[in-house]
Amino acid sequence: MRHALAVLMIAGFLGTAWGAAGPAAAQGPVVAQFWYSFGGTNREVTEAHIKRFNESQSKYKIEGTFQGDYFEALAKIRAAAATKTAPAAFHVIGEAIPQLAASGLFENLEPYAKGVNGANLEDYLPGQTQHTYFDYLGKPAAPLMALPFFRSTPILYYNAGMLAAKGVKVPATWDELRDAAAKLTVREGSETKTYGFEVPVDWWFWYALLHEAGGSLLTPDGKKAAFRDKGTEALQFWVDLVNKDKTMKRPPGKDYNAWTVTNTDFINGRAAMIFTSTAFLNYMTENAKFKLGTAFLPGKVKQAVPTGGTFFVIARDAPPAQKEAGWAFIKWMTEPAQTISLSKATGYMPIRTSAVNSPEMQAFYKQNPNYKTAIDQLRTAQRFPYTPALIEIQREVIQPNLEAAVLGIKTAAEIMQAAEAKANEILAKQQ
Amino acid sequence: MSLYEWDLVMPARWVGAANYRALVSTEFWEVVTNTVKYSVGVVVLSQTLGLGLAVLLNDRTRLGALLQASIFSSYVVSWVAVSLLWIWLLDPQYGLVAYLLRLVGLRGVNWLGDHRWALWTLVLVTVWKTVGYPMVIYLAGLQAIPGDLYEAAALDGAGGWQRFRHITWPLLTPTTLFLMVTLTITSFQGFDIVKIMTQGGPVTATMIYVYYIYEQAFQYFKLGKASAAVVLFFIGIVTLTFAQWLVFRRRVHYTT
Amino acid sequence: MSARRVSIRALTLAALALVAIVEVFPYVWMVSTSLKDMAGVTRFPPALWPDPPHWENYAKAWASGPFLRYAVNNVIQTVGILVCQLFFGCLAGFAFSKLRWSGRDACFLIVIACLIVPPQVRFVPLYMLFSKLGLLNTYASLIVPYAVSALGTFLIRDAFLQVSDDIVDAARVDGAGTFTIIFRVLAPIARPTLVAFSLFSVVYHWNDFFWPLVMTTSEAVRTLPIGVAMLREEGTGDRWHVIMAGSMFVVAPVLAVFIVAQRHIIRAFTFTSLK
Repeated sequence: MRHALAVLMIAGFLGTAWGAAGPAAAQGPVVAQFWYSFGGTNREVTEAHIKRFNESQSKYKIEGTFQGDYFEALAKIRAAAATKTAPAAFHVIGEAIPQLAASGLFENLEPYAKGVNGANLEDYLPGQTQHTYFDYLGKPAAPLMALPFFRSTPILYYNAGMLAAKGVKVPATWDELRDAAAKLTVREGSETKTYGFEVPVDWWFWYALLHEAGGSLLTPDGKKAAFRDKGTEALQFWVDLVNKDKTMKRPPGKDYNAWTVTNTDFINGRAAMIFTSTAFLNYMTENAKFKLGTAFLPGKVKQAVPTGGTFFVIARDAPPAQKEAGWAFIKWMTEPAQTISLSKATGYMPIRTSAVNSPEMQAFYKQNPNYKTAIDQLRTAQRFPYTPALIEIQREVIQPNLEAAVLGIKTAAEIMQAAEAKANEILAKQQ
Repeated sequence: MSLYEWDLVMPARWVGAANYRALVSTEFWEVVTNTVKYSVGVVVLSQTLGLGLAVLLNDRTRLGALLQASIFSSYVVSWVAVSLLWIWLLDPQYGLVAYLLRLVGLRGVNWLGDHRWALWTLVLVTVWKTVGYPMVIYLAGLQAIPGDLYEAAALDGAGGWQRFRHITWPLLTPTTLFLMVTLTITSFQGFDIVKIMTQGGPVTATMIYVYYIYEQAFQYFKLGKASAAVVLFFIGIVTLTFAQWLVFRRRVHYTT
Repeated sequence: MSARRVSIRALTLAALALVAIVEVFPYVWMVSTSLKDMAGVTRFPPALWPDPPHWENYAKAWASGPFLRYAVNNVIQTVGILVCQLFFGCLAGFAFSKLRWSGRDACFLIVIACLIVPPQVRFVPLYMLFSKLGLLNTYASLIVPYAVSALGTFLIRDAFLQVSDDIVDAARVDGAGTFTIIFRVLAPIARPTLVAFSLFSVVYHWNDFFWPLVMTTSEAVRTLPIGVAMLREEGTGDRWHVIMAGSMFVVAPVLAVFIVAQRHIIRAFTFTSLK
């Protein structure tokens, strides 16, 4: 009777399947989903805030769900959007906003912001908001679609102990960085015990260097690529540090894997100075066994940094009641009280001017001056061109090709030239 | 779907064979070569090693069972759990492997960061992780061979190696074929190791086929292109599998 | 024993021991890391065994999410998939090997095609299909897509092909129905293949992270690997000690099952030679 048993089991599974599915339709608070794509401490902090939100009012109930890493989550969201089951709220990286907006994924938030449960858009820190993140290239600004969530800038972290021991002062320019890295590198025979400098060979940092060298990504009208010369300079800087001076370590792995290695190397004293996000400040502070210092990124022609992190967005195809719940949630998350607690728990920057100026944060900054670096550095924040091509340029044109120069497979000039051609191709398709 | 351009949100656009053209004119051939290299490396090494281990461990002692379990344990662990460990182990600066090599006076290589070595490093790590499976299957196959055959051969004066060549190996051919097919197919589907350890890098040195499809679909949202890649993959594997099967099944001996 | 045999034996043992150590070391490492604290994890050079061992990491990992639920779901998923795969695999294997029908070989080619499509690509159309059926986020969405295994069908068909048709005919003459022939006559003969395949399937699906992740949205049906993935950080130093503790929950059951089932696995293979 084995086959009968098998059939029964299958029926049983399908039955449980149906049973385990839909929750009973809720009377009471409107339930909406918030999909996020991080685990660990950020997840815990977020879930704690979701809980607080749910407890603070009885009209809406937000359910937070982990959806894998950023790309897995985005793929799921797109698939969900295609079947009209997108979550009410989720978050995206800034560079992806133009393209996703063009696909009609986002709800226009302006009516909400101006409505009954509106938000005081004036109070948001310059550099944090959608309108100050993007350069609209001379065209009218895109409607408000995103509120800042976890936002960051890259900063220079340094091992104060090592610098003091070698009498090196904190570098403020590229040349000073080069010198400092040379002085801080420790070699034993053919082995490098400590690298003076390390940074993930990543679009974000390249973008900073590009602007520090006085360049920009696209022409002011956004129609053509403009990064070739200064981009080459930026990339060449890394190439020289790694291959000529041999004072910089190139962390292996792509995307966040390289970031993790960089952070770990710094904590372990394998690298004296690194560039990475202010988002890791909590982690560094807790785990560094040495005196930790932070500073602005060294500049060349000028000082410049991109901002990073993610923005809250609402899915246009979600049911209206859920969208309302989503809005209530994200608005609440960006209120001063919440941005203070989020920032203190993670190291991401607070996004409200009133929060930064509040007595609580001022006292906190006095005690922990490292946290103030990113905020101060915002005045050198660079904008990103608002074009659907942006994310493609980042992920297909620049990001995968930076490595080849540092590895010595191609020259920086060759890479930037090819990149320029490809970027122009993509931009041309947009017109 | 391979004939459209689609990013999941906007409606699909018909582009005909453009996806195939785009596919073939990029680093596609490097991906194919990488995948073949990886697959051959994994299959040959893990099968040979698995067989060797099985032969050596073919005693029903407690120690044998313990060794078997320890070798199999790596097969059972998930990639996430051991990936960072391997990245540390292989770090050219302070990894254990580099350290051990230095002890014997050899200079280590940048295992994962050097585009000449990265793919072979992944092969080795994959073999390390999966060798338990062919070992267990071969072990079972070995223990299915009737002992009297060996006794008879020994009586005839056959030495260890001859016994292996004339009895063990022929009787194991069904197992070998089974493993070859299974391992080839699963190695062509290799994905997790790349996702976790190198993400296709450095540059495209470890970009193997399934990861390439994943990148096109998930990171670039070029589903049409990804689908085209899948179609080509299908054609390739079908041909390969049938070829393997036809060529080898004639050399397979069955005890019936 | 001659000196030569002793030294060969010693060399063999040494080689085996080396291999075993290499294989097991990372596993031991997992356990060791799971008992450290954060300082121990980031320290370099790392200590082999932490002192004192922090058993509370296991409690922390367990509590980070509904791990019991995850564990149960993982079992349901893995067993469910295996049962379906064996069942349908035998049916299909029989159809492709012992029955003659037009278009048989063309259909088989399609089966092979399924072998190639990786889950990362199948995800999108299946997601949309299940969404339309309202079956997303259920056990069905975890099991059904894998209910028919192309690899299983392929292997079982091959195993059945090796059974001489006379046996099938003899059974028919004895009055056996099709199901009886498949499950009572052929399957036992193909036991080694079934066992080998089961081993592969169980390990694969037990550890599967991607599929449960994309097919489910709520805790109620999620599985252990997702629970462990949620312990990872984004770019910061992961809390490896907790992650390893969590990973142990995933690893230990399968390893235990294997150790217990070792004998049976071997017996399954020896069964055939007794006939």
